[in-house]
Amino acid sequence: MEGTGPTVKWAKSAGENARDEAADFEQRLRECHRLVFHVAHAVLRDRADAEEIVQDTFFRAYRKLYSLREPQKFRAWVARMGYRLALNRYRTTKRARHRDTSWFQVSAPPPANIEAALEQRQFQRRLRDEIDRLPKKLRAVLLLSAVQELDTRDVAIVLRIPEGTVRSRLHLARKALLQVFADEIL
Amino acid sequence: MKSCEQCRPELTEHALGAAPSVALAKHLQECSACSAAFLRLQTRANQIDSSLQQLVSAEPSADATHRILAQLPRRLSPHAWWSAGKVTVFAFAVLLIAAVSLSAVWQQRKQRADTERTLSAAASLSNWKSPTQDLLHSSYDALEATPPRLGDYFYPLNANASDLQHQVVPEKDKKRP
Repeated sequence: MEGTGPTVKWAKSAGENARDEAADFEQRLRECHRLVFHVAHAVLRDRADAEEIVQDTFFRAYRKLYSLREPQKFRAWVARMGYRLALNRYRTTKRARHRDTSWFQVSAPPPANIEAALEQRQFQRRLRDEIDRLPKKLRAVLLLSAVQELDTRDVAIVLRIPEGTVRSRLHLARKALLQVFADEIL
Repeated sequence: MKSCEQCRPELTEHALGAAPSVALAKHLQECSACSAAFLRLQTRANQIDSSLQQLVSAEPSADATHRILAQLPRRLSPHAWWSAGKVTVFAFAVLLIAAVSLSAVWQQRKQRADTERTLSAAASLSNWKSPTQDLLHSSYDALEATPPRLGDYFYPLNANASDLQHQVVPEKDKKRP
């Protein structure tokens, strides 16, 4: 649950309608900013970059709010905007990106022993490399589907593809990752 | 009956959640090696899924919304038509119209100045006097202006012969009553 925090103070000349709209936007911001952060983080896998994308996304959404014909679609609209901005940032960053290598350890349960810890670290590093090797269409679906706030329909809206395509690409991505380890197991 | 090699491709699908075929299900019941391999594959698939969940489970900083709200413009309504972009376009349009108008006025003044110069030159030409003008005048100019009437220097038709003795006097010397 978000803290109350300061609200935006509007000039008296803005009018009652403008104040109502600003309050409405603030409410939507509090509801959706975690979703946009998770979408951006799924693409960029860097916390600092993801937070910048969240800011950019909501600044743009604020300026272009008049163009949103159906207010009930704000959530999907802003998630898509965040995805596009994160993708642009991912493509245009030419330097070697520093991946947030601690993303596995943030929520992972502590390993029982050192051997397990080493094995887990190796597995995580290898999985991260294999995710990067996936075709970009499969990688996008795989990472967005991992966001808890997004179901298959939401992923389809963000990526502008049919739901069936989301499901088939997700299956192909998981199969490609499992195939890498299957050769060692079988 | 399927062999282990024949079952291997389907094992991956089954580990990902697909329903097994009758032949595969029967083989897994009979083959302990494939059954153990299937369990390891299933464990690995679950590990991949949980790792993906952890990938996107990072949380934004607690003051993220505070920072965004603090930076939003305070005087602009989200639906104000006078957004920065539109003001820029409007100002540019006004400047363009002003430039076109000034250009038209300048063109008009230039044309007027050219016309006045032309008229002035034409007037100067019309006042020009040829240096040979004086040579074209003579003492006969008055005669040409008033040509003599027919009969002024002839005798009257009803005159007698004795009248002929009188000296014929040019009309201009006759004294008029």
